[in-house]
Amino acid sequence: MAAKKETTSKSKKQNKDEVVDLTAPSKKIVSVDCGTMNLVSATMNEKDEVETTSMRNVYLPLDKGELGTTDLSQMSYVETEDMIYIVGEDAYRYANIFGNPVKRPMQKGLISIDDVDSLDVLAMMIEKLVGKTKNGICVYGVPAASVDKENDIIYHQNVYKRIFEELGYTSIPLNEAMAIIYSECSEDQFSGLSFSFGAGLSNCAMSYKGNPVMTFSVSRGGDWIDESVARQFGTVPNRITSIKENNTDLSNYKIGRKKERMIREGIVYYYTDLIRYTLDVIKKKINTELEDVDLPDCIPVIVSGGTSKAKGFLDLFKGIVESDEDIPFEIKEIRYADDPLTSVAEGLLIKALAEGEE
Amino acid sequence: MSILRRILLYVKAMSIKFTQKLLSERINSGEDDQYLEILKEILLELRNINNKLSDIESAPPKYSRNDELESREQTNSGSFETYKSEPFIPTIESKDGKSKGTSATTSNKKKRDVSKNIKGLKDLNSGENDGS
Repeated sequence: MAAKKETTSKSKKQNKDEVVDLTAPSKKIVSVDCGTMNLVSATMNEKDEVETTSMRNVYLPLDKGELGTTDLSQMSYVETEDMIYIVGEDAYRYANIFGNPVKRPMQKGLISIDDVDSLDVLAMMIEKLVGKTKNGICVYGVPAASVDKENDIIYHQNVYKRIFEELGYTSIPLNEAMAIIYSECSEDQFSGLSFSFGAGLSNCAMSYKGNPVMTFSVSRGGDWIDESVARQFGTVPNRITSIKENNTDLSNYKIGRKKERMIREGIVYYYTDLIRYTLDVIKKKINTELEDVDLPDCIPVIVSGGTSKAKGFLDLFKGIVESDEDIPFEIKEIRYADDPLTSVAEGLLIKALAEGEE
Repeated sequence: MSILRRILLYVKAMSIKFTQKLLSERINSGEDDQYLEILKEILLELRNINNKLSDIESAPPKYSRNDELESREQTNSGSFETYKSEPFIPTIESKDGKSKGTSATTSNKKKRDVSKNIKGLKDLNSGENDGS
């Protein structure tokens, strides 16, 4: 009889310990990859699925007086008293129709302050992406400073911090190339070399057991390729973007009409130059700044970023790296991130979840 | 004369609308660059003519960025303000009053076990791994 009572008391105690305070709001944990071309958010849902949401980081401002009888019901937009801002992919679609250029809140990987409205529209777009909360954590990606252009990320980092905090999130910045390491290199104890080839910048990080050994960016990316090729052919970058993203195979540019073949040939040359240029910076940094540092042995190389999604990119990248005899470290493998477009957001989410559990 | 001008404006507006429709069809079909460029030039020219006719008709003043900035400083109606003062929380709405915006985003879900990544990161932070 006494033993039974004891068991009952123990059970009650266990039940008491298991009581959860239902009044405490659970934290909303999100991450945002703040890219020049795409804003990508990630969150974990109740089914343990990683949900990623992306939005083109562009908007099209339209004076309400110019619209007349234009039907807006098929567009995604936000409006103020005098202006309509078409956001996301719709902005691109309708830019040519309305004869106005799209605006981009970010240029070359960082927030652009050329347009007085861009920060406010960016805040609206971020809110559309992650929503508001009373208690949240947001880890957002930031680039490293560029080695070939004078820029700093202080303003960029703090504007995003303010936007997220005003939406109710505790915000934590994280280098976007390191986010790729967190997402893709758990099997290698978070040691590796990651590349994020974005539209505005290309970021790179070398990590040893989760510690950044080297992080930098170069001011070349997808936009640089489009602008360079457009300049060669006397056309607009948007046209090059369209060709680049449709039916361009970097291993075989000789398809399509004659002019398109010539443009694709140009695209291949500039992609090649981008890869070589970034590798040269790595070699220079390792040979000068990291001369006395013990580098990790045999590390994986992870390739990511929207610009790397071009068909044939990985083969081109491998070909250039493997033929370079001056690479000062052993390479275990060269591979894509699981999803080059969302790996940064997923890595940021992993960091956010780790923070949220502490 | 004003009736004639209004008729001219209407004809020009219809031309612009037709050219816009044609242009969007050509863009979607991936037509030759040269044809696209010609259409764009025609569209721009029509818009210029339309604007000039509108000026003759004493249309309301065109949107001026300076006017907008001055009116923001003078009024505090809670409409579009920069983040220098208070943040503007916009109402996302369409002309018919319904909320819009879902088409601007593309969503994807995938099953992924990130527990190992999270544990690894937490171990790094707590220094349990040998970081030397």
